[in-house]
Amino acid sequence: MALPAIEIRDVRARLDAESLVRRQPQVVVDAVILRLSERGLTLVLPPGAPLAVDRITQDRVLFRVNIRGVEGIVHAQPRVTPSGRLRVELVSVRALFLPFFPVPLSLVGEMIGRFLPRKPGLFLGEGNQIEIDLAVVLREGAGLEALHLPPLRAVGAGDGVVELRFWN
Amino acid sequence: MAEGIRINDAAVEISSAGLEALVNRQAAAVTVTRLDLSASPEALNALLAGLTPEGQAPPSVQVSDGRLQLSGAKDGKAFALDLQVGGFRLELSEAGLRLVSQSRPPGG
Repeated sequence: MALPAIEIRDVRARLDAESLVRRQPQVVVDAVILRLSERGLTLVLPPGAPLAVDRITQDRVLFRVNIRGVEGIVHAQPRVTPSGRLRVELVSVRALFLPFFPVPLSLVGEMIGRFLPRKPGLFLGEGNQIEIDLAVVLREGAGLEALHLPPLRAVGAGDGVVELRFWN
Repeated sequence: MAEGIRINDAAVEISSAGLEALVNRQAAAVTVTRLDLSASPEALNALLAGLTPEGQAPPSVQVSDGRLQLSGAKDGKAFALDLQVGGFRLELSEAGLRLVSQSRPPGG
């Protein structure tokens, strides 16, 4: 059986009956586990982004990037910030035409700082690392205003899946 | 926010095709594989009130251990339903839905 793109597990949530009657259900999630497959993670990347998920291994997500015809592989480690954002921490970047020489991370960080698109929930964190507030992405980016997500508390990667754990 | 309806446990899956359609805001297709839902009497009454046509008095519901009582009036005639069944089991099959009352075990 094919791996689902997204698996949502162990959901604990509250729903207001009045809002259901008004056909504008408000859902407050107290806890949830979100598991994204390689395909699932690729699909939720910002449209037009010059990158795709290559694979997810133990504690790492490998992205294939293509910037102006130059292809590369980015190794990133998903982490959680104290404020509950998902931090995509760069571990190494290599251009495919020069695979034995890593691109300096400071240079990549500078490029991210300069070219990071302005999108709801997408932030430039400490050390020019990408940080994502998934509650804001769902609310403002995906138009799911009625879904209130708790902060991200833990993240892990392995066996083709990224697992995000949210709870209050 | 009122907390009348609680999802105690649920699991949902979205396929690649379903997620692609969802991301493009074309369609929504999800598969629910586990569900544990509870609703308070207040929430049930709010839902009944919302479903009752305007100008009519909504029925009211009371729930206690193993018992559900529904009462109201329509066209000046009172009605009451007292379900002293313990609980229900909802079965899904090719034949459709089947709702079966389930007595509580003694002392349960």
